Amino acid sequence: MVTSGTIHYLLTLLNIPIHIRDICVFLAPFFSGLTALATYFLTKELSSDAAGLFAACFMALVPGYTSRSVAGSYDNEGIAIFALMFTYFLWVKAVKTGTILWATLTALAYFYMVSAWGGYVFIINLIPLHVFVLLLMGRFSHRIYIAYSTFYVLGTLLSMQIPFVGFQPLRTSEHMASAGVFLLLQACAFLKYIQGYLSKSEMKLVFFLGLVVVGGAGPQCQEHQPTTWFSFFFDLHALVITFPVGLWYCIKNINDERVFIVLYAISAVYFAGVMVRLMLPLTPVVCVLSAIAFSNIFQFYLQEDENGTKPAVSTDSDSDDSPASNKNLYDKAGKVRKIKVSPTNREDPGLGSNIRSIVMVLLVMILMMFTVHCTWVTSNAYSSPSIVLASYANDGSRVILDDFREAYYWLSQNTAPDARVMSWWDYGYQIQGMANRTTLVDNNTWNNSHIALVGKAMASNESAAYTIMRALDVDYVLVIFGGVIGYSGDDINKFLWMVRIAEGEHPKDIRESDYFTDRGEFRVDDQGSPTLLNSLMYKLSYYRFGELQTDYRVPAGFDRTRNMEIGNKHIKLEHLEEAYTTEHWLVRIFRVKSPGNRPRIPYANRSIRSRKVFITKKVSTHFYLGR
Amino acid sequence: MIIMEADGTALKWAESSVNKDQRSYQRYDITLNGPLSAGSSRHMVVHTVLTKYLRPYPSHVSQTQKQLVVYEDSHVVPTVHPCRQQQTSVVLPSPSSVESYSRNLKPAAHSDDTITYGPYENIAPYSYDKMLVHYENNRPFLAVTRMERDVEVSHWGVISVEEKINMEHVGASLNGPFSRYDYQQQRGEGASVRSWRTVLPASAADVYYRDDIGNISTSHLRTHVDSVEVELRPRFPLFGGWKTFYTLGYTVPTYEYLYTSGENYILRMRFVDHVFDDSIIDDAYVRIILPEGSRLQEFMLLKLFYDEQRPLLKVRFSTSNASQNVFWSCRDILVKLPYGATRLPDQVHYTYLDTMGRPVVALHKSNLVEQHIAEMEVHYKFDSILLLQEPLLVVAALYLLFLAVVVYVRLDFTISPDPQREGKLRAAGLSAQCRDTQDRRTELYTRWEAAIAKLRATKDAGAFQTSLRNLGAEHRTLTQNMTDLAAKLKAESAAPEILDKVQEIQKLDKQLKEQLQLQGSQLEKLVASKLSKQQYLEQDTVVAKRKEELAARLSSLTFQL
Amino acid sequence: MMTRHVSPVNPAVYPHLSLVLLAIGIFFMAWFFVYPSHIDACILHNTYYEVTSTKFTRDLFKELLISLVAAFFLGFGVLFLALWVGIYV
Repeated sequence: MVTSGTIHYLLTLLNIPIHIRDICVFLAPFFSGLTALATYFLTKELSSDAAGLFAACFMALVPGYTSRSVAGSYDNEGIAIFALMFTYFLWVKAVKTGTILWATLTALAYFYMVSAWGGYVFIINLIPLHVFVLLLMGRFSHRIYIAYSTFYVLGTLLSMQIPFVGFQPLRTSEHMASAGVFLLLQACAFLKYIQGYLSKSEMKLVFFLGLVVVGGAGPQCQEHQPTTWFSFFFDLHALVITFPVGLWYCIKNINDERVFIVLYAISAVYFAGVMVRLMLPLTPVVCVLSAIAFSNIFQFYLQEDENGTKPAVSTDSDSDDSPASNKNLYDKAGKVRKIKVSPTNREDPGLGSNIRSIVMVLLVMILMMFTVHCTWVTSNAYSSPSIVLASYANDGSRVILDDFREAYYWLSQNTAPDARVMSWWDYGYQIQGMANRTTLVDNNTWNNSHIALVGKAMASNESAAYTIMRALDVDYVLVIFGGVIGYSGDDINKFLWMVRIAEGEHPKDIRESDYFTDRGEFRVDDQGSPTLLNSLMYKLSYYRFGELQTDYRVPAGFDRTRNMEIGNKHIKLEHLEEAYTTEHWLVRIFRVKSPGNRPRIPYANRSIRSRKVFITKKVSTHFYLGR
Repeated sequence: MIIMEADGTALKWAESSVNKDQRSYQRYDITLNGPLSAGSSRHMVVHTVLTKYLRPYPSHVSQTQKQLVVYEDSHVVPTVHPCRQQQTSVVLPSPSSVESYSRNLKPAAHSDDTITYGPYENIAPYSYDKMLVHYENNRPFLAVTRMERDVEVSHWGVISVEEKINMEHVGASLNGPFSRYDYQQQRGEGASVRSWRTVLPASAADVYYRDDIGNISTSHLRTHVDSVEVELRPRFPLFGGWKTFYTLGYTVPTYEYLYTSGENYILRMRFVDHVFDDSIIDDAYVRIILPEGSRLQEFMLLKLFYDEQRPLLKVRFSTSNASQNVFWSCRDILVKLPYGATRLPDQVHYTYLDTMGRPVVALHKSNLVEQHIAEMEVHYKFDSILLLQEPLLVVAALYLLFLAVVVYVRLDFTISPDPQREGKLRAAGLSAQCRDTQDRRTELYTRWEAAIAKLRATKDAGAFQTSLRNLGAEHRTLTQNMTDLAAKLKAESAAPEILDKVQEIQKLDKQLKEQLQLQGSQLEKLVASKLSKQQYLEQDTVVAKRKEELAARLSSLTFQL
Repeated sequence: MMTRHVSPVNPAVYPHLSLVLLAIGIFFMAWFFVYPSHIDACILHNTYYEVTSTKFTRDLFKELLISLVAAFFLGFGVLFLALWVGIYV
């Protein structure tokens, strides 16, 4: 949010009037472009700039990342992955150069990551792990010492400025690893310093003492849905296969920074296997390692000769024109030369040219198929907006169902500004954002008992629900009903969740078994349970629906989503009235009437019974709550 | 809105307020076109457009009920002069059922869609007798409660118009529930509004229709020869008391509305445009945004034009008419009738590529009807060269970015200088210079070869000698450069292999030069016939081969530098 | 006396003009960025003979000139791009 606000402020300062809504919508794609750049730089540090280009291209396309960065998805992950890759790039740079500048920049990028996403814990465990493994491998050097010490101190101090983190780095086990490694590093540096003054046995003793200090703090195992092979392939396609190849290349030519990427890969694979949501941190490392694999293969198969062959003989040629093909990309200032595949004579034939071309063609084909898969996945699976529904009529023309916005706009224009709307929590943010009205519960589902109360109101009969609604000061009730168009995400389908949540808080009033038939089925037709057919949700969804005939082949009141004819067709509402229903009956808004002026007590219950009594046929008058 | 005419020509009139019999009247004094002699008669027509005269009664109806309105007026037309005979006809919109009508003053007759009162004889001046007609009117009562119209002029060829319209149904308010089922069965339509048509200027393009929460897709655009018609359907039908808000925008090319002569520009646009047929606008705020750097001269509301299809209005006001013109200068606001719009203080509008902001003329008028669609003129001065300010702003911004890069790469962040790295950098620089020098020497050899070839062709020994001298001098300077660089490299001692290479190059170069000299002298001898052709050819090939070897090694070494 | 005002540049030509100007501008910008380049990589790999431009060999004037040309073409390209897209500045 701070990022969008800052961008909006800067642009307005420059008199570029872009609406804040457009900034939020396009923030994720903008940052995904920056992520591709950060991935390029990271891979360039690890391998070569050719691999970097591959990695950037992969990152730009891969579905695992585009799913979280489509335009309109305004969530933390959009900028968090950019912050992650950028921090890792800066860390690798810090390890390579060992300068305080790069380590400080890493700490600043880490601070941005902490402010963006809770997944910063991944960084603060991976980097210490990297340093620890380097120490174990005997690769201690002053560069690592400078880099990690600077990063740890500055990074921890900065992360504690974020209110959400506060003093956690000093208390929780997730942060202990970084502290432990910091102390270990100091110990190692000290050891190296006094190495000249101690004998070998004493050295060993001190070293083992130091090892004990390190507290192991592996992240806890989450009991969640494990990832299937299908999701791996769907989100990563060909990169899943080339990723171990890149890993092998890194392990074969190991150096300080490649240790880091290997550790990142192993930990990311473990977590992604455990929980499907953690596919997201796996995606960048898969891109990087696959890029390294591809670029190495291409390099090997495209390579023609060694460095600096004899150029063609001519004394009147500038060095620029010599046709030697080598890996020097830059020549005299200003003249950029590409790597040329020169057909000049080669010293050793090596691979036959046939094999080379076959392999090249195959690799290019794999890359093309990857591109096709990515674009198909992104356009079909990850591009549907959830506010505007599109369906296809019988003749193939597209029909736009804009019912949600229709209802929210009606709410915003034609209700009092302080009206309170009761709906299920899924639509809370939408009502707040588009209709600008107060809701009872919304997507920030942290108050479970409040949600249970709303669920109880939806699941009870009308009078009991009315009591709850009067207590909560509700003016309007909003339900989603998909029976006319066959929309399966409506409130009747979610109804059992409302019942369950309500039962959790009010087990005496609501029992889930009441809403099923004797045989245990959930039915809305005349065989459905009476409790269900009298519940507020049922009545509101199907009010006047019994008279509507959606198709000439089916009777009136045929619910297209449940494929049944509803049981309770002649619904009468006593305490609510229909305020607005959208064109395709998708969103239904009801107004809560204020209590009757003179409630009519049946004769049998009266304390004063007169002899001659005139019982009026009129029902009690109700006053409307007004607009 | 009042229009008066006689025999197709406009009449001038003056307005004043009069109180009589505890009633206030608005009195209009009309000047006839020519004198009216005794006994003659003149035929005059007065059109008056009144808004908010129909009162929905009952004020709240349910969805299926009919909408009834009350029209309140006087049976007799109040006049200043005594009236001999008078007749009032009330024409209802359609043969609708009349609930009731006042019959105090007979005769009163009702037939089809007309209620005729009169004829009345000998009516005294300033007489008033209340009349009430209560009838059914299911026509939708749409009103624009507030309209904001922005006209942005861009000298790059386009005028953008954006209208923000608050639309409300001001008929009988909806009472009770709204049943979608009844509405879809069409008996529950009542006096609701489903859609309306807006007519845009003929050259309107890029029409968009949206509101706060996004684009509204329920619209149809139809292009006709002389206009563009867009049928707008709001997100929800408008029942009594319901309102909605939308934004309608389009662009028109400047050559239709903007006239220029040198530095002066005149914008001729409509004050308000068509919203829907028989529209009423309660409040209209019009803003004309002129390009940055324009200076306001004068603003005039000029003439009231109208379509030929509507022969109602044939009035032309001239600006010089003292009593009826509408004229105000930059500083003063002089509002005169009939079409008096208030000029609000000038504003400044900031948009893309603005530094100082664009001047905005803001106007406000309330209670407008369709007859108020008339042209206005804005006169301003603008220097065309100021159009360049926009691209130059972008150029300057980008240049600043590049300058920042230039400064950044020259910054040195090392805390302690690394002597080895510095040395390497210096050596690299020197080796680049060596390569440059060697390249120039190679080019020199090319010219040497060319001279030899010329000698072979022309056999001109003299010219050859002169060119040889020049080349020799140049070669000496270049070789001197090389030795200097070599000395510097030695001082560096950071890159010994470069030094080796340079020294090797020097050696080879000396040999190459010898070969060339040899070749040259041989050719001279041949020319001077001191040498036989056969011998020359033999020696020449030897020399040539040696030269090629040397050249090859030289270039490879140079390349490695 | 009063003629109708037309745009100084024919609006039909906005797309082509913007693409051409942007292409030239990007070419010059690429040249500018490549010109003072890759010192660190060369030093690190000891391929110092590749270093074409260090702080001892850079030419300030040439850099400023290239960046000015690039900024000029890019600036006008951006303006015509904005006009083409519908932001009539």
